[in-house]
Amino acid sequence: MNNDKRRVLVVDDAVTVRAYTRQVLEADGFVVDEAINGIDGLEHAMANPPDLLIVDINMQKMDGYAMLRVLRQEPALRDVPAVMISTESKDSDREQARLAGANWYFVKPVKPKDLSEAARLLTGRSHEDKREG
Amino acid sequence: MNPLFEQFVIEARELLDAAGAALLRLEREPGDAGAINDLFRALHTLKGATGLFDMAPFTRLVHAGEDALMAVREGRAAVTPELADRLFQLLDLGVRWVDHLDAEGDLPDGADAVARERETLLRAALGGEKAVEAPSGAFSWVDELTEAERRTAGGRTVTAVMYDPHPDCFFTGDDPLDLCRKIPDLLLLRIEPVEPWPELSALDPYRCALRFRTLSAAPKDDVARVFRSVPDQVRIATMTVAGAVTAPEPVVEGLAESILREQARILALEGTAAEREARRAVVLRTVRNILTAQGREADRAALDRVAETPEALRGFVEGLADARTGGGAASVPFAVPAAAPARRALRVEAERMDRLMSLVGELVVAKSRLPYLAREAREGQSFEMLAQGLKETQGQIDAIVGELQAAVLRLRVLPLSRVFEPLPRLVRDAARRLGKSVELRLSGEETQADKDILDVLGEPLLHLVRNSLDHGIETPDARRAAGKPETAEIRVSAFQDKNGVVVEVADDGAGIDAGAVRRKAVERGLIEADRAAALTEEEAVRLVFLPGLSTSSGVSDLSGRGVGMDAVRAAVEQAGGRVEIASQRGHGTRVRLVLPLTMMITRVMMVETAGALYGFPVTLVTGMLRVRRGDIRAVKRAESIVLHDAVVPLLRLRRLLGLPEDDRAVGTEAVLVVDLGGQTVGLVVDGFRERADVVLKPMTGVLARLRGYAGTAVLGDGQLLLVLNLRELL
Amino acid sequence: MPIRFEDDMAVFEGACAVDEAMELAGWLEGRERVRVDLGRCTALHTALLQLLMAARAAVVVEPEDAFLKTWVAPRLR
Repeated sequence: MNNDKRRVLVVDDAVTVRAYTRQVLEADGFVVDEAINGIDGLEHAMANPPDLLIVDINMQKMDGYAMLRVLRQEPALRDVPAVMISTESKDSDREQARLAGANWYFVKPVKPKDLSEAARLLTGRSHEDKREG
Repeated sequence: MNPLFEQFVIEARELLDAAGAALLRLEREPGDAGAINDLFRALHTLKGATGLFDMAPFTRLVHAGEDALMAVREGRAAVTPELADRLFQLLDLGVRWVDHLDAEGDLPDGADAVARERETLLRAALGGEKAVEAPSGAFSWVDELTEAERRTAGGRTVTAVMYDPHPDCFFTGDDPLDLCRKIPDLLLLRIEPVEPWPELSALDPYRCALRFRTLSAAPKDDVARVFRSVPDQVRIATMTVAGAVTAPEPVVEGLAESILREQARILALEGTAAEREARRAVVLRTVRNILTAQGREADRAALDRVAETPEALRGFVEGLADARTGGGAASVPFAVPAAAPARRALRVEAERMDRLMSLVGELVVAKSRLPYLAREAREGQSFEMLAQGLKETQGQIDAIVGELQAAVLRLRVLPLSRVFEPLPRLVRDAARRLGKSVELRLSGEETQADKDILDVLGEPLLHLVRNSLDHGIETPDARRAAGKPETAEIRVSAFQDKNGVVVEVADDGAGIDAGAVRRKAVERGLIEADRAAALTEEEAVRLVFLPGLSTSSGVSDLSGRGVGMDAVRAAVEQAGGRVEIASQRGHGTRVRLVLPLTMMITRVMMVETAGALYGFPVTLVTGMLRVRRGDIRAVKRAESIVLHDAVVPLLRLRRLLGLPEDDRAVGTEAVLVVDLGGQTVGLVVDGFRERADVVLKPMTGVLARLRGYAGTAVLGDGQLLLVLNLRELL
Repeated sequence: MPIRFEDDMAVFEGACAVDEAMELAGWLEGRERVRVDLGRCTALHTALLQLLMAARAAVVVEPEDAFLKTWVAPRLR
């Protein structure tokens, strides 16, 4: 399975954030898919299940919490690791993310190094196979 | 209040509760390693939490408890009743402090002195070490060390020195800094200006402007020797410094360890079975990915072995996270931790709120059908079709509203364990004080009742158990003499039956001396001698509920109960419930409190009298009879009937309410049999009507002053129902 | 000489006693930036320390002496 490129779905309503994340992760050998809100994210995920979700919290139409809650009820998607990204660093926000179904929580801004390290760990990719595929 | 602090208050309460429960277990079973560990863990976690908020006295208090337990765990001290007392006191103090923190946002004044005193008492209870001399308040700076200072000096007994050099000391050849250099085992040296620095030009270089605060690990005598030339300028004391609250050396944790730790936290979350299963699945995949990414093949194999057992998985993941940071070996799956899900009141409420939200959503959907129907009507749709559509929508809305009602009621429903919680401790303390041996058995804690009902139940329940301990349970000697086991039993059980929530307090003690109760009641003029003599044993026992019988201290001489029984009855009846009592001399006593499930909705028995409807809480009604006029005995105007071989006084509702006499010629009378907390009364009414669930509103305005009315309720057809308070009427 | 003054830097060497206090005070006066080199200092009299503290002097060369390094130098930042 190390030969496949890992697919990451980035759900964020800010185009700059999506572009930044794409740049960082593609440079690291990931395939990046984008969605602009929770509903869009669910549709993308259903159509093409990713190996990792990176989800913003505050979005129009459906926020990140709601999206993860629905996603965790979908048999095909409930075990896809998910990272939440927020501007809030309060414990209560982390707890809420955890309850919604996030596996990890980054507070903005996220360093490129941390982002790609998290993506690598959560998709089960060792350092060696960084650029292959 | 900030959310973190609120969280602390909640957590501290839970931890103190958990510690109390563990201590009870430990006292009963002094070798119970699990109990020691639970207690230790609770205190340890609490200490950490207090450290977050910089409340040194609280940290000190908890630390003292932790020290004592350490001594027990290491076999240096035994769990004596004295030590248990001290520990209980420590927990009680903690509870009071948390209450104070909750209400005022800080610890009570003098908390530090109290904490030190408890510390000393605990040491004394441990027997071994001699309590150190209480340091004066001047040394309070020792409590206010920074985290960094605490890391070197914390958690041990130290010699503290306050050195205030004389301003002219340089002229006598002293160099204070040089003296400090000579202090053996120096742990801390603070050099402070005595006053804020003046302009440099105003500073006299030959007058000493500094003072020194220092801690040493050396014994007091050794430190004092250094300062023997300046005894008037130093104060020296032996004291214990609260330990560092955080780990001695902060461990820099990698992202992988942090994420692993997060996965353990996720597994610890509460939730429905489906939620937990989904979490287990995603955590499993996440952890497997991380181990794969790191090439930890052995750990991955071990992961698969525990994958199916949520508790074991959680322990394992915690172990993985610790493995890199100095913890245990990760490849050995941890023992399954004892299942002790933390109480999370808020979480439960959140779930119930979610249910409400989704019902509101359904209501919005159902409602959205109405504009559609309105358009249909405008466009001339047939009446049959419209009626059909309206009926369907009404059906949907009805169903949703019903569920909404139930969901709202459930928001207020809590388990009875809340009111049972103080009992083990109460029994333990009282039994120890009275020299009695008592086993408390609780059952039905999971029974649920309205929050208001729980509030009503709390006090009476404590009263009853206390009474049982004080007056019901005999001393071990007396029990042995009576051929009973030395250890008495108090059973407190709760269950739900059709009338509401029933809570029973039963003991196997001496029972109530009906004769003595009877005599007392006559002595106090509460009942006439001949009436008292006519009472059966059972009825005589119920006299304890009469106000005035139990208010005097003389009553506790009755080897039965008495204290505050009328208060118990009053509280329970006020909530629409009733009290029953049964006692057998020599065998014990059983008191039963019957309360409605909720106070918002009262189930009433309706009767008709003189053309109006009246209601009585059904919890009071024990029967309905048709009695032939010939069977009614009358002595002057006092009427009575015989019911189950007992004479029951008969009252007429019309007379009680000052209404005209019934002049109908009827062969039988409708008699409502009512239990007024120990006294059975027959009540003649014009006719019985159905039962109804009503929302009782208290009387307001001028009416509030009327005696005899519990309140009013509006019936389904709009009629007003007066609900009577019989006790007030009689 | 235990204390040497170089520009805005005072260099302390060996055991620096109370007799140096007047000269140090004179040098400190009116100086905005005060830097000290305690590298070779083995003892610092209280009178000198309090002058340095009052002048908010900053240690640029840490003392080799353990006592001064642990407990005194941190006062001068």
